[in-house]
Amino acid sequence: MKKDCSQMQKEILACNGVFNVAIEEHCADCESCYQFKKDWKLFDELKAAPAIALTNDFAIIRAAQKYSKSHRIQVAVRRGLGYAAATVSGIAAAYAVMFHGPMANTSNDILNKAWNWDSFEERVFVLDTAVEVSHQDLTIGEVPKDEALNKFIETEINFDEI
Amino acid sequence: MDKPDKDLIKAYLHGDADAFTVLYERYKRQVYSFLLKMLADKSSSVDDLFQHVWIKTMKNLHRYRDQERFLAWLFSIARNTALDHFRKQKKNYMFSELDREDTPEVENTSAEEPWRNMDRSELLSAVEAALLLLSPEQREVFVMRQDGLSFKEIAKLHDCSINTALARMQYAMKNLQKELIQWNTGG
Repeated sequence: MKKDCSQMQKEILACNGVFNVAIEEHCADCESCYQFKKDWKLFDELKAAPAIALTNDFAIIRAAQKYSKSHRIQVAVRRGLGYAAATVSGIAAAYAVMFHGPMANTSNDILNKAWNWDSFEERVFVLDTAVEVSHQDLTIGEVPKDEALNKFIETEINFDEI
Repeated sequence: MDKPDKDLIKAYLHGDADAFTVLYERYKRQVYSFLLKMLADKSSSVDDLFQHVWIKTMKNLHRYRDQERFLAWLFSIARNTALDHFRKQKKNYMFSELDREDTPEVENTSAEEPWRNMDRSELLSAVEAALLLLSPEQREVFVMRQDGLSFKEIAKLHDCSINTALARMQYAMKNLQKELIQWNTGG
């Protein structure tokens, strides 16, 4: 018997049915390995096809359908909850950024400026009054119109503030 | 052309129950054959375990990663289910006896052995009977190989080296040959 028969038989097993030249050469001279190779092929091809009861098929396919349906529902519910959570978080985040975050001061200033018309209205009232007074002066004719109006405007109205 | 396993798995995970049926039809024989041979003395529980394996498979399908072959992954579930069963039955299923990389002594066998001339169905019955006499780990390696797993996949499932898996197969072959000789002589 050859010294490397044991290793050769492992190679025969590992070959997956396609034997290399070294194995074929070894088996040509070695009766034991030749027989091992033959038996291995014989056993490898000897595959039984067991009869599986129909009740097994039925039970497993039914379970697969049932599980798939419940899995689908779970996925749909999870997805719905995900969308709802994302929407709520989005709104919360926007609120936080607008009113409590780094933009809070800027946005408040913008809103305040946008809604505070007090000084402007005051100035309009003053200007309106001045125009009216000037008109009265003109109608009376005692003071030259441009001079009185210009004087009033210069002293009472600060155009930088308007 | 047949759809690849990974496409069927993806389809099932997206709600296509029929995709699982295709997978089941593709691999049911290998799984059943494996369980049948591993639990040969308790054939009544094979059907229960078989169903259990497939239910476990469908529930864990989202964990499958296609780095390994689906058949190998399926066999890992089948093997673990069988081991759980043995544990519940308090059966000793130890691998210590052959957890080594040695190889059996090579013996001369005669080409004239009568079992080599049996017809296929007779030989199949003889091999199935002889398999029951092998140790569980030798039987397991033999059955897994017959069902299409590579030695690399078998070694991974058994958490051993490929050399050890090959050695187990060599022992299985040697013992099968011995049993078949006795089968013929009526021993």
